Amino acid sequence: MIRTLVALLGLLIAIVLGAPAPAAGGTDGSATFGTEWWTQTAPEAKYQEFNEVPRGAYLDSYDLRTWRDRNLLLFYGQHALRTDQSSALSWWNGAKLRVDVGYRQIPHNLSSIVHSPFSEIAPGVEVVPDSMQAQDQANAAGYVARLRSALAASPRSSMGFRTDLTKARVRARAARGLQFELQGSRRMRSGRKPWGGGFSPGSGVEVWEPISQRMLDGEARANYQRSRLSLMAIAGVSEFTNNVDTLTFDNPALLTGQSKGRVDLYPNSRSVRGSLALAYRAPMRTAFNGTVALSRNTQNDPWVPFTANTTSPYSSLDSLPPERSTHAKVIVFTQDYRVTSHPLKDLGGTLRFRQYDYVNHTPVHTFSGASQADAAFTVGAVESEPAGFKHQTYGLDLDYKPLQRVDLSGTAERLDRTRTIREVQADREEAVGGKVRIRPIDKVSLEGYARRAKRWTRNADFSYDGGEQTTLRRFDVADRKQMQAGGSIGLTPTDRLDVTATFGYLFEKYDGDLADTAAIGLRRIHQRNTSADITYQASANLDLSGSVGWEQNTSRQASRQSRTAAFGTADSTWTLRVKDEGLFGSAGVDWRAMPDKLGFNLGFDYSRSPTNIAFATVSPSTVTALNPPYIRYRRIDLSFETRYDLAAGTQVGVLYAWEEFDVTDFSAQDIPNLGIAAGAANINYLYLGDSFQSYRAHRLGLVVRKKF
Amino acid sequence: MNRARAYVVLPIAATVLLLAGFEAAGAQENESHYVGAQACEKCHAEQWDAFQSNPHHMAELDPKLVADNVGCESCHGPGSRHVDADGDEKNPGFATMRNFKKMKPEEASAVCQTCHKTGEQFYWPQSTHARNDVGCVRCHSIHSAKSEAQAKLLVNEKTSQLCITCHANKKAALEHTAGMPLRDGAMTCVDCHNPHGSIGPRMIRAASNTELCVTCHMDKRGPFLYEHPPVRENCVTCHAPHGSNNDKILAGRRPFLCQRCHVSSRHPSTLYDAPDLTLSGANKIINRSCTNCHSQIHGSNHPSGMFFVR
Repeated sequence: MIRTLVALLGLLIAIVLGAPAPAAGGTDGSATFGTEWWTQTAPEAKYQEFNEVPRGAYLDSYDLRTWRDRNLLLFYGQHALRTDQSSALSWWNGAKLRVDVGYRQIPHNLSSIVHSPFSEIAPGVEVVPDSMQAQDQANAAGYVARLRSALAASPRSSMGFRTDLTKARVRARAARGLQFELQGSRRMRSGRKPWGGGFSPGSGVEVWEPISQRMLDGEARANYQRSRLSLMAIAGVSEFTNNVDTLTFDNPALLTGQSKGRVDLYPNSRSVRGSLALAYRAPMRTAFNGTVALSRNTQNDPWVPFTANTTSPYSSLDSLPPERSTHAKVIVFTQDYRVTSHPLKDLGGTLRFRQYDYVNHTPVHTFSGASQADAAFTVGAVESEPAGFKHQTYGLDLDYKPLQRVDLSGTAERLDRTRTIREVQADREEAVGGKVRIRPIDKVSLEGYARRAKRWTRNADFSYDGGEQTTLRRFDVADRKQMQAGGSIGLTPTDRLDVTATFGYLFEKYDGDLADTAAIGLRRIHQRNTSADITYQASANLDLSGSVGWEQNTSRQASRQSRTAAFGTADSTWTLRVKDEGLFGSAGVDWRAMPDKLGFNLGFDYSRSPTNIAFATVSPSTVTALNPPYIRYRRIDLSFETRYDLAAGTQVGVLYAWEEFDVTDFSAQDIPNLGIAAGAANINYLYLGDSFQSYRAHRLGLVVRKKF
Repeated sequence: MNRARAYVVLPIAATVLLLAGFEAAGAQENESHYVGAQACEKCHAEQWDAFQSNPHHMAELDPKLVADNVGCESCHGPGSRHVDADGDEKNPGFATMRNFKKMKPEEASAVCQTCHKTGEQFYWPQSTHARNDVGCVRCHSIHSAKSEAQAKLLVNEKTSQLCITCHANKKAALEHTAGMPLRDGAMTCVDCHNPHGSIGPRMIRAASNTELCVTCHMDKRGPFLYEHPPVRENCVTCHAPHGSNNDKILAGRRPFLCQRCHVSSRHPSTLYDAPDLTLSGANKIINRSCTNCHSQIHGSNHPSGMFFVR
């Protein structure tokens, strides 16, 4: 349907273009098309994770522009008729009307090599043959062999999903300063992704989660502008619909009892919102903005029974409380006020306040127990805990220009947070920061900034009701000291050379009312990054560019192992350091060997993302922790393109590209279909086997660019 | 009027009158006056021709809807003295037209704001960009926009490339192995950020991080029967939106990310190290680790879903 619409629009444009343009109008445009061949050494989906590399003839991009009298029409797009295509149309009719329509497909390819003994007999119902379940239940010893046989008979398949996004917007000016706007979007997502479900602690299966979702959003805006006053009123509604309510999957090991599992997939929901904003620009370069917004999020999908195990009395809806659905309702109230003023020529500032209040009005539901992982029902009251929170931010920003080439700015901020359900019910963070920008001479610019923040608990209860170790401090609410600093240098020694270098640093230290060494949880984070870019116009026909960058994130955390069921029987304390790094480099050469005739382009990109996991100390020392293997992702892209201008507005080119993806990751590579522990007779997990694979790919293409 | 009300109303009235006085005193007209767009064509034929297919040209056709003066002078200011100079750059009148490349960012942006005050640009005066002297013409060009960005009149072909020009420190993050489809062009920075300002932190297009994320990931919006409170409060607690070394752009590697907050007893607290890769605990450390079983980690609507396994 959408493709047809796009084709019709293209036809419309062609008709418009085909007509002789009057003197007051005109038409121009361009198209890039060609043909391409490529090969890949392993079918790794990463090569086309969010795009489709074309094979054969393709239309890469196009844009058409036509204007006549009061009308201006733009039609442009990319990757026509591919799974990552996009197209857009914009139409202006004088200043009265503007219409924008856009369509985009976004693929997300996850794997090309999964396989599973499960078959999907209906949306969200995945089964293995009953005969296999019966044999497995009767003869557990042959379970692994039967699964191997079933896997061998199942074909490898791909896994991923696609999002189709359609947007439309109409803007109309009714009178001077009065503008109305209607916009809407439809996001359809379909495909499948991996979903894992346990049947008992230590075992589980991975199946396909069917994705068939619709997300609609509509919004109306009215803008009124008069002299110094601007008003904006917005009303909108969004709706999420999941076409597959539940995912039911067999337990390959059992035909009766815990023979299947069922998950309630994301429920349908709706949000209605409205806001009113006012801006007033007073004299003396003073401006006020105020916004009040309210939204109401609701969700009332019917519940499923406690278990899919039909032999259990709790597989009936009658076992549920009489409500039968969550009746979830959240009111989000936002208010934001800012006053900016520049009372003096070189002095300015902003005073601001923002409140974001997420008030959860969902009733607390009490259940008589639960059937964890569709296992036997455990009796005991279970209460839902509707979470709510409020954030209030107060800030003051000052900007001062003491000298023509020096800018100073400072910020002071306070953030108060409160919550209805958490061990920390209230905390506060205060931060101060400053920035300086200096341009000592026209060709040099320097910038530096620093920020220091401290967060502390104002109201807390760390007893965790016996559910966690009391020395645990969760990092999102723990007391924290934060230090940030960074800067940049920009040099333009000549008009042809531009050099920029940046660096950044972040340090976070989490602690509580205990000594740092005693606290459990995340303790520290260090982030460092630096980058440098250079562009150089070596001659009138030769441009060179390059960039390098490095980022390192190091975290340290501590935990206390308590393997036994009895809570609090700690048998060792362990600490861990994880170091994530990212290194990238790129270079580009653009050489117009024969200006307006022959040119060459060379591109090179390199990225490397290693991760190092190290258990730094373990106590007691009788326990020895062995570090997991080193992790590394590396990607190298090299492309070479030559282009030749055949005639005015017509260019042909030859493209060659090479890509190498190299992965070493114990957690995502060589994932077996059957997880069998060493020496064990049975599996602990049945995987889809969507492992990362290293690959090399070569691409060769012929490209034509035509302007008309 | 009772006394309490007078305390409120009178200061407000006095302030309004005072500000109105400033306004009257500050209004000073340029000596130059408007001559009409046709006067520009003679010397600036190239810009004139190109402008006929420019969205801003449309404003000329409905002058009463947009501004008092339309055409070239609506942005460049009254041109009589410039025209009188007749191309003589030494004539003081020659430079009386507004040249946006030479203007201070704040002054240049103020001209754009004459018309672009609402909608996307509503929060511009308080935006981080405005505060840091990043004016409209740093990103937009009326006369020299790149072809692929005609509708937005940007100076670069790709939006994200434009942002990275200044935000170079984000480049390394975007190059990590896990990331959003920015490199593929399916997303751009402005899908999440409004460079013209917003009421949200870091100029995001929503009042909170979570509200922004559920614009596209609406399935995770809930509200759910069983909430995962840190998820509800902020998606960025666990995810690094600009890119990371970890699957699902997680800020840390599972299971260790989860173990920062869950250390009760048995498997949540267990040290999973190299030997576990071949032991029964392998399913806690490989593939999707904790979410091999706790798949509904964003929230569950299942009556037995309090641990997010259903």
